Amino acid sequence: MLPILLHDGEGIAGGFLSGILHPLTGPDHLVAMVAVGLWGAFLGAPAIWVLPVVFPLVMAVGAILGLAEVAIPFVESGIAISAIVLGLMVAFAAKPALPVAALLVGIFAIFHGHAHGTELPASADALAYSLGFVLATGALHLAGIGLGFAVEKPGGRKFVRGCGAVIAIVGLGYLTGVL
Amino acid sequence: MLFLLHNPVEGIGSFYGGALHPLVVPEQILLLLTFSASLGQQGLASLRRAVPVGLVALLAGVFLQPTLAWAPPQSPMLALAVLLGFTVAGQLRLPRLLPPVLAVLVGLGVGLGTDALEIPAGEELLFQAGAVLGAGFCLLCFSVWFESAKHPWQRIVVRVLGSWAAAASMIVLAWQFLQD
Repeated sequence: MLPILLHDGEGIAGGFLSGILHPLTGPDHLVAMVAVGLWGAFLGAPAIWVLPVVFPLVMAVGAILGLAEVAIPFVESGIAISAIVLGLMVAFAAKPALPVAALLVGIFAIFHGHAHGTELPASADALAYSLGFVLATGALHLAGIGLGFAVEKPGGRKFVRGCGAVIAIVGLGYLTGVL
Repeated sequence: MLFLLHNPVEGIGSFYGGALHPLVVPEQILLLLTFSASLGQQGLASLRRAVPVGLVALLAGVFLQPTLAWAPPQSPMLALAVLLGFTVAGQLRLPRLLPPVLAVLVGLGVGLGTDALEIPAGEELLFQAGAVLGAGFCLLCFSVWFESAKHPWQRIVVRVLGSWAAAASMIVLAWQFLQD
C-alpha cells in the first residue's frame, strides 16, 4: 500500500533530512563521494561531468536492489574499498580511459546505493528520503570537483593528490576496522 | 490517487499555502525542475513556445481539478521526471514539437495534482490562485535560469541536476512497484 503523501512536515521533511544525513554522517560514504568529484576534476572533460552524472544513476540501481532486499555481499567493505581505490586513483594521478573510469565508478555506486536503499527508514517518505541522499551525494561530488579545480593552482596538483591519499587512508581505516 | 492537501505551513494562509504547494509535493517540484532544465537546454525559441503553453495547461489543471475531482497518480509523473532527467543529463535535443506537448503534460499534471480538498470553505480560489502563481513562477524562472546557464561549469551543474532528479525518481518508482 502506497503511503499517502500528507503534507505534514514530519513525513516529508523527516525523510528528506534522513536522506541528506545518510551520506554525510558516514565518513566512508563521504570521502568516497568527494573522491568521485575529485577524480572527475582531475581527469578533466568529459569525465568531470560524466562521473558525477553516472554515479547517481547507477547508485539508484543499487538503492533499488537494496529496497528489493537483494543481498549484495560485503557492501560495507565495498564502500571502504571504493574510498581506497578512488583515493589511490587520485593520489597516483591515474588517468585511465573514460569508459574504464566510468565503469569503476559505476561498480562502486552499486554498493553505496545498496547501503542507502536498505537503510530507508520505515516511517520516512520514500521520495523525500531518496531526494535527500541523492542531493547530498551530488553535493559531495560537487565539493570534490571544487577541490579538484585546485589542480590548476600552483602546488595544486600536490594538494589534490594529497587529498586522494587521505581518502585512501580513511578507506583503509574503515576496511581494517581501525575507524 | 488523491493527494490530501494541507497547507505546507500551518497558519500561512490559503494563498501562500497554494503558492508553496509545488515546492512541498516532491513529484511536482521534480517534474517542474526536470522539464524546466530540459527546456532551458533546448534554447530560447523552444522556451518561448513551451512556457506559455505550460502556464495555460497549469491554469486549466488547477481550476478543473475540483470539477474532475481527480489527481494524476504519482507513478506517471515520476516516470516523466525520470525521462526528462535523462534528457537533461544527456543534454539531448528534443524534436521541435515535443517541448510544447511536454509543457501540456507537466502543466496539467501539476495543476490537477493541486487538490484544494482540505482548504477552508470560501478560500479555495485563494489557494488555487496561489498554486497557479507558485507553480507558474517556478516554471518560468527555472526555465529562464537554466537557459541562461551558458558557462561550461553551469552546463555541468544542470546535467548533474538532471541525473539527480532521474535517480531519485527511479528509486521511488521502483519502491512503489515493489510495494505493489
